Amino acid sequence: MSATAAHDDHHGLAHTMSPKMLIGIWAALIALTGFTVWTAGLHLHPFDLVIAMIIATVKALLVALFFMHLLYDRPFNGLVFMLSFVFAAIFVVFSMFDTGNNQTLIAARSEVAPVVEEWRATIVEEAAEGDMEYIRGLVDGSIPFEHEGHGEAAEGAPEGDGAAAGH
Amino acid sequence: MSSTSTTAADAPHDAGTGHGDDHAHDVTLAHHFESHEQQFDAGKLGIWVFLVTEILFFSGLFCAYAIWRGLHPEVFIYSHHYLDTFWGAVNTVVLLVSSLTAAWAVRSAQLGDQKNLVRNLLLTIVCAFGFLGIKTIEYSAKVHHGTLPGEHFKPHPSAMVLVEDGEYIGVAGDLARKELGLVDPEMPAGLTEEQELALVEARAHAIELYSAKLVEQADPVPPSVPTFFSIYFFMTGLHGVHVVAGIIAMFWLLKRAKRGDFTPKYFGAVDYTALYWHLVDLIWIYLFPLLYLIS
Repeated sequence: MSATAAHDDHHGLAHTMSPKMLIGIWAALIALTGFTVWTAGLHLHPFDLVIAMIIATVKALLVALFFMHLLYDRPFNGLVFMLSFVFAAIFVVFSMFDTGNNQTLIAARSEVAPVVEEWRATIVEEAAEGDMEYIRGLVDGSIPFEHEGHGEAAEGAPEGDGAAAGH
Repeated sequence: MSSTSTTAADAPHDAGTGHGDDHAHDVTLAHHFESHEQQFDAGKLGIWVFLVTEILFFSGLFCAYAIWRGLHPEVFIYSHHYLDTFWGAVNTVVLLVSSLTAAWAVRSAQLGDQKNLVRNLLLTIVCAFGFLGIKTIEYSAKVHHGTLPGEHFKPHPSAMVLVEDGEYIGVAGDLARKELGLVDPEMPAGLTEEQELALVEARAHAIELYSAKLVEQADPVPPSVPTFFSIYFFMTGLHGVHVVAGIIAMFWLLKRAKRGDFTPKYFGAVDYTALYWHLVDLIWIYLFPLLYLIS
C-alpha cells in the first residue's frame, strides 16, 4: 500500500501531505463536528450514542489515516496502533460484561437475602423448641419454606406431612 | 549523539572525538544507525509504541465511564446539562485547527521550509493555549457553581439543573431571574455606591432563595451525580495534562527549528511530536460527544 499510494509524494524519508489534502481533511473534520452537534440536538434516543460514536470514529480515522500518515506509513506501525484499540476494547467490553453479570447477582442476592435470613431464624427457633423433624424437613427440602407465611408454616409443620406445610 | 555505540573496528580512530566512523560525518545521524531512513523508522516505531501506552492509559478512564454510564444512564443525562456544549464545540474546533497546523509543520519540515515550520509550530502552540484558556473558563465556572467531584459537589441552588417529570426545564438561577424580573436588572438612579452594592447583593440573595424553592419543587437530584463530575474532571484533566506536555514539546521544537536543526533528512522530532499531538486531538474527538453531547 505505502509504496504505490505514496509514490508521487515521496520526498525522502516519508510521505508528504499536500496542502490540498491537509485542508480537505481538516474541513471534513470541522463539518463532522458540526454534524455531531446537530444530531445530538435531534434527541434520537436510543441511537444517539451509537450515532455520536460512529461520527467520532470517522473523525478519528481521518486523523489517524491522513494527519498521522498511517495510510502511507509502514503497515507494521498501523498494526501496532490498531492493537492498542483491540486491547482497550477487550478491557472495556469484558469489564462491562463482568459488571453486567454481577449486577444481576447483586440484585438477586439483595432480594433473596431477607428470605435466607428468615429461613435461618426459623431453623434457630425450631431448634430451640427441639423439633428436629421439622428442621431436617427444611434442610432436605421435604418441607417447603414459605417465607411470607412463615408463622403458619411453623405451626402446621410439627404435624409432619407435606400437605400441612405446602400451602 | 551517542558515542558509546561505536563498534570495535571504529574504536582506534575514535579516541578523541567519538566521531571517527567510516562515512562522512553527519551530526544528524546517530552512530548506531546505518542510515537516516533507519534512524527515522526506529524513532517512528518508538513513538507508535508510546502512543499505544497512551491509549491504554486513557482506556482505564473510558472503562470507568462506560461502566458508570451503563449502570446509571439517568445520572449522565442529568449531569451533562451542567456542561456547556458551546465551549466544548469551540474547543473541538481549536484542537482540529492545531492538528492541521501540526500536520503542516511536518510537511514544512519534510520540505526543508524553515520559515513555515516555525510559523506552524507557533500557530499550534497558540491553539494549544487557546484550548487551555477555554478549559480554564469552564473549570472556573464549575468551581464558582460548586459542581466539583465527589464530596466537593455542593452546587449553589442557582446553579442547579432542574428536571421535572424527567424533562429538563433549565438552570434554577436562570428561571429564578426570569420569574423575579431580574434578567439584566436596571439600577435605580440616584443611589450611592454603597447602596448599589447592597442592592446587587440583595438581588443575588433573592435569586438564591428563589432558586432553592425551585429546586425543592423539581425532581430530586439523582444520587451519584458527584461521580459524573469525578469522571468529567479526571478525563478532561488527564487530557489537559497532555495538552500541557504537548506545549512543552512544541516549545522545544520551536527552539530547535529556529536554530535550523531540522532538514528533510532529519525531522523525526517534528513528526513524532505531531503524532503525539494528533493523539491528544483524537482522544478529545471521543471526549466531546461522550461528555457534552448526551441526550
